[in-house]
Amino acid sequence: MNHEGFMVLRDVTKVYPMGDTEVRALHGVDLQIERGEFIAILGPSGSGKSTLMHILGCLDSPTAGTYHLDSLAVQDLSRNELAEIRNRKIGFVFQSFHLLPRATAAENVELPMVFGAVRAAERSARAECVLEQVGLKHRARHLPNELSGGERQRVAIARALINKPSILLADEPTGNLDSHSGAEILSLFEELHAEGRTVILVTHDEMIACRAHRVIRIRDGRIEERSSENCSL
Amino acid sequence: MSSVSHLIRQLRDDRIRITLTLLGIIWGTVSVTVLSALGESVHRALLKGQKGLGDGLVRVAGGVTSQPHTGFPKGRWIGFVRQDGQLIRDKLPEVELVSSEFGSINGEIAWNGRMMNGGIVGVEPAFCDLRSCFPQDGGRFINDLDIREHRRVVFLGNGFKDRLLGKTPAVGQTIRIMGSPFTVIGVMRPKLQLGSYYGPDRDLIFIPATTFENLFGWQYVSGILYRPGAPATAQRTKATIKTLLAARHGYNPYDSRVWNIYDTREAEFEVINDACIGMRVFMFLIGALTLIVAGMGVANIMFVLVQDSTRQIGIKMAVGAKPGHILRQYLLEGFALVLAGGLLGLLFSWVVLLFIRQIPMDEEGLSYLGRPELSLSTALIVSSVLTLIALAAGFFPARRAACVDPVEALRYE
Repeated sequence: MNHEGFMVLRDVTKVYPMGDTEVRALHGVDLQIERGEFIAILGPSGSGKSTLMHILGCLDSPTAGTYHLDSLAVQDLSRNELAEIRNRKIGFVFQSFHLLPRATAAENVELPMVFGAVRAAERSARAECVLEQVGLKHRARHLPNELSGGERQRVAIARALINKPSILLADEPTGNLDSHSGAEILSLFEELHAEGRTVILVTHDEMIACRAHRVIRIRDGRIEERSSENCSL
Repeated sequence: MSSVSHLIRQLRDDRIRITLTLLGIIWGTVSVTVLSALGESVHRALLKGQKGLGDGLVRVAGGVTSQPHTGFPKGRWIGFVRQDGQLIRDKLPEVELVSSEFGSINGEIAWNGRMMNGGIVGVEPAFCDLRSCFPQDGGRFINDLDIREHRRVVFLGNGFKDRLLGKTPAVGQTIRIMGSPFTVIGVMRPKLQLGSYYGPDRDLIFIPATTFENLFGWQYVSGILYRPGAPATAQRTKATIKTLLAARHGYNPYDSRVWNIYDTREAEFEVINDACIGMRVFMFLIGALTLIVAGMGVANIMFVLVQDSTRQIGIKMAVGAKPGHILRQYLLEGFALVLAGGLLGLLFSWVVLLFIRQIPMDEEGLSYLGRPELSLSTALIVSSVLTLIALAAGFFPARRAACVDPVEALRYE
């Protein structure tokens, strides 16, 4: 079996037990993503796109099938090894930002470095630098509830970038933003892709998906793939 | 964000809940500390009271024979005399102190037109140390010269002095004992006395043994008091004295009815010690149970905090926190809560004990409370119990937090 791609899923199935029954979120998914791609995973609510993102982001393991990330067999890794990969290789951006409410913008950005055993002085310096990169240096000492939606999402992006991950995974990153802020965030993702990162956007919005270079359509836990050149929107 | 700053924010946001939990720990710590300190203090006071009767004192008195011996029938009265005390002094140099004791006789004592009855005891100088009957400033106890010259001097128990002379300085006053004038040479320093056989020493008056013999014509002593040397040789000393007195008075040394002995080390020390240890364990357990209940409060609040922070745990795991990081954070938080409560509790206990020490202990009952203090041993015991409770209270919630599934946690509302 070919594992030469950067992120390779083969016949991946994910089943969630729900009481006496089971919910099959993914049915034998085969997917290969190369380093530096800008991909959108597009699908309606309940299609399995978030489950796919969780597996790609090593937050969850497949029930069956294999997933190789940079030649590592993810399904065989321990919880600690998965945490290490999430910390060093992957940056997450969520629809509802998922910032720690009691921590300032800078402290939220520093969080991945705390678990990466980076010294406090270096943490502060790097957090300041990344916040400047997303245009929020002046808001570093503010708590999330003192920031606008767009600012919160930029803090979340800064946090995702702080450990210089090679993969950026974003789950509906503009879902809670107005159109102006959403456009800014998408531009930021394009810039980050241009810097060489692999960017994976999970969305139900065709317009947003069309900003990616490849769109992977998912429905009922199965993949239908097409490229952005065929985008009709 | 460090665990400390997280905890401080948590404290700020959950003020009421955390304050109540802290109060539980403080109350538990105060209970276990104060009760342990009181147990220790009562133990000390009782041991001191036991020394009030005599520090390592042995009292030997005669009796009636229960066996015939060398031609004498049974039922013969054997009485010891003052010279027996002298014999023990001469033959057994390892014996530290020896005093004969006569009494007590309940006699009429008068001073300045005031008259009352009191117990009169005839003793020798060593009685002072043997029974911890130390004189107050300005006075003295009966000495060898008093014995040799059969002086009419008297040493007053402090309680008797207060009743007879009131606040008048006693030393140098002349009182009449059954009509005979005696000069007061000293008044006993107040002491805690647990046991007695003529009544507490504070209510007695003491005159030289030789004077007592002259005054009342007694031939036999009521008892010979002595303090053996090293505790290791005490049993051997006792056996030697037994043999010595039996040979001198012509009775079987194994006739237990003649030999009436009262050894404070054997009789009361063991009982007091055992009772006090039992009491201290009991008091400690009451305090420790209170502290355990408080520890359950901490565990409870930690479970609530874990529940409330489920999504935050998910966020941390998403950005790379390992289960160990989460476990450590909640263990630290539980530990910090118990530690803060424990330290405040120890501080508060110190204040409570300081307050107890200010209570006047003149009443006899209260005097057995002693002077409770926050000793190093108590503090160490309480700290150990607190640490165990902190670990137990923090561990289970922390383990639950560490086992959270990150995907489920991120979905948690």
